[in-house]
Amino acid sequence: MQIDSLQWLLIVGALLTASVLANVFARRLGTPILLLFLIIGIASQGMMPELSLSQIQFVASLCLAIILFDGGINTDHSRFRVGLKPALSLATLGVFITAMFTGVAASWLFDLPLVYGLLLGSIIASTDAAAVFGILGSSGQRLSERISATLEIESGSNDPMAVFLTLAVISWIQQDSANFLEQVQLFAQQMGLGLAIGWASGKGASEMLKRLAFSTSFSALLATGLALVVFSGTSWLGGSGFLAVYIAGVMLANQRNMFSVQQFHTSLAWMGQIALFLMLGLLVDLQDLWALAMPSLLISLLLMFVARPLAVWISLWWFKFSWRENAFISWVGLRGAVPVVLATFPLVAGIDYANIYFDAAFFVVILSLIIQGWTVPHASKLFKVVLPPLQTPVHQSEFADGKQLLGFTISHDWRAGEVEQHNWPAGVVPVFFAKGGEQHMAVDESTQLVKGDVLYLVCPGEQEEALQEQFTYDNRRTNKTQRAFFGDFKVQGSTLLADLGAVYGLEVSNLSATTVAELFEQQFKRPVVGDEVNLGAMTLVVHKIADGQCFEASLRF
Amino acid sequence: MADFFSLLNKGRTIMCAPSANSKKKALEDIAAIIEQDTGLSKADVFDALSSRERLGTTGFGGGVAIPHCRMPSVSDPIACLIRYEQTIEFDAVDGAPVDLLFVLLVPDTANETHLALLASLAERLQTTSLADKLRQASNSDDLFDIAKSA
Repeated sequence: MQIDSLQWLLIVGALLTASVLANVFARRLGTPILLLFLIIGIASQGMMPELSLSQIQFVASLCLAIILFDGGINTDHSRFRVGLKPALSLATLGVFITAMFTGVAASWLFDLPLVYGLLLGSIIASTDAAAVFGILGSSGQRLSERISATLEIESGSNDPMAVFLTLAVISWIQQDSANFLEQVQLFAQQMGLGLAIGWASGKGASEMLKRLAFSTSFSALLATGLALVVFSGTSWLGGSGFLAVYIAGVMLANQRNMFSVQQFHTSLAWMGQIALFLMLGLLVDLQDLWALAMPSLLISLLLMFVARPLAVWISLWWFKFSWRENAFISWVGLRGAVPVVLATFPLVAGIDYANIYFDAAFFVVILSLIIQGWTVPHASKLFKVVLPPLQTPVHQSEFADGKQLLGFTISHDWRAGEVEQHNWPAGVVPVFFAKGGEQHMAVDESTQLVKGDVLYLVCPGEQEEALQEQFTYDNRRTNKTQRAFFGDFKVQGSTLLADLGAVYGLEVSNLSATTVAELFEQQFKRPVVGDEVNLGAMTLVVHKIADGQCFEASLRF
Repeated sequence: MADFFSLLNKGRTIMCAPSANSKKKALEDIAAIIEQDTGLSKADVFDALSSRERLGTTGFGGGVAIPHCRMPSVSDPIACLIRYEQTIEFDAVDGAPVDLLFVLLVPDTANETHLALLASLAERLQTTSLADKLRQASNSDDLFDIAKSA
């Protein structure tokens, strides 16, 4: 089919519009949005001219790089405290176990020689950052930090392992470097260069953004440009470009003035997701897929219910996660674009059975999105790993000095003077309010608010959560869930259990010299908000963490 | 089991102006009211309530605080309700200033009762418009009547 550039633009624009509008349905039906992109792609088959293999790899790499960069740039560094080590264990050992287990099973199910089975296992071994970030983010649920941090860091950093395993098995098949030592070298080079270049360029980029005070629009573009340079440059030098671009993003995160850069890249990342999944939808041959349906279904189920849980359980053995946490982490082993991109490697390399990999990988991804993606919000409730929702601001923007302007909808009437007398978190200043989204008026001692008004406050970055929490208690609905989870009274982390026991008549004989913070540290090593310890007739729940310690707990009777 | 409101009497259900805009002064007000009504030492009550407050705030939210503690010198639970004519700063979880104080003192032996009384009071304050009703009171007698019919 011959089409001119106007037609091209029309098709691309229409697909983009349709994909964004699909969001409305996704939210209403609770469908994973990535799945809808895929369906739109399938429905558009025949509209687009055929893409060559190199075009496909180009688009896929570009999109993945942008998505990973966005994942990195949105990584809150404080999340490393609880998530880094378990995530790295999952990203290396976990991927290896998954690849080997599914590989052996695949060689049997697809009737392939063992090494070809292992190739399939490697292709589908890594979880997908785009899918995990997308589904955890769009569910609107607040997960326990131990879990969300682990899952996000894992999905952002496990692709290099899968890439390595895939390349290693391909070269094993081709017999051009059967030497085990060379494989290890290759792996070390991929990881080492990826880490080093990512780290250095992230450092450099953040200095550059700081020194050259660009307008926010240019800062965002500069970051995009650098991300692409890091990705391609590292790959060209023989390192893992995926890892490098992710690490560079991580290094840029938590810098001042990154808010608009982050917003821009989140938009770009969505664009990448749309492009990637539309393309996958366009590429898939439903008839071929159908022919492989049975073994593909079995391998998908095996991956979800046996291989992934096994890999999670073994990789997290040292970290003493609860069985609920393990179970939920197993269930969020979402597959995405990487397996399909990796499945093009054997095609390019001219390996036997290359078509099987592509179709099987595709099948695994679709089933993972449907079965796991759709049910993640239910699984989090089932395994009790959700925290009660915080009241979220309806407006959020950032000043040059890192402070933010936050707008919260008022959920009940405030009498004159209440805004002024309110005990706001340190540094928070109410500035103005809006009635019906129209008139903006300055806050003064006579300010009265009615339900539905929006109050705007200047808030230092570190007080954002404290402010959200105040509004959470202020709203009848969120107040209820908050109290059901945390209970009604607070105690400082520095409280001696002996003193707590004296007030409530608890038996704490051998723990009397221990503080609440120490109790949680003993039990969890790295406690997170929502961790619980039973103490006689009451339960202590971690409510706030500061410097890695339980700063404030609450009492639930 | 007795609930908070059945433990109230007229002498300990007071509507008044706060003596100052501070948590410490509020605890002193409470101690004075309880001393006058029961003869318990004002200093003891203040100390016991302050030690609880030092562990973490009892500012409940929605303009309500629930100061509570155990007292070795009492034999039965004692409740006290204060409605301030102006709000005071009490370090509540929602940041809102406080005008209603539900005070509970229990004997050393009453562990389970203590927690149960607190839990049921918290539950009622959260699920009903009780606090708003109490704010309609125009004097102490009024406050007592509303509290008793709650």
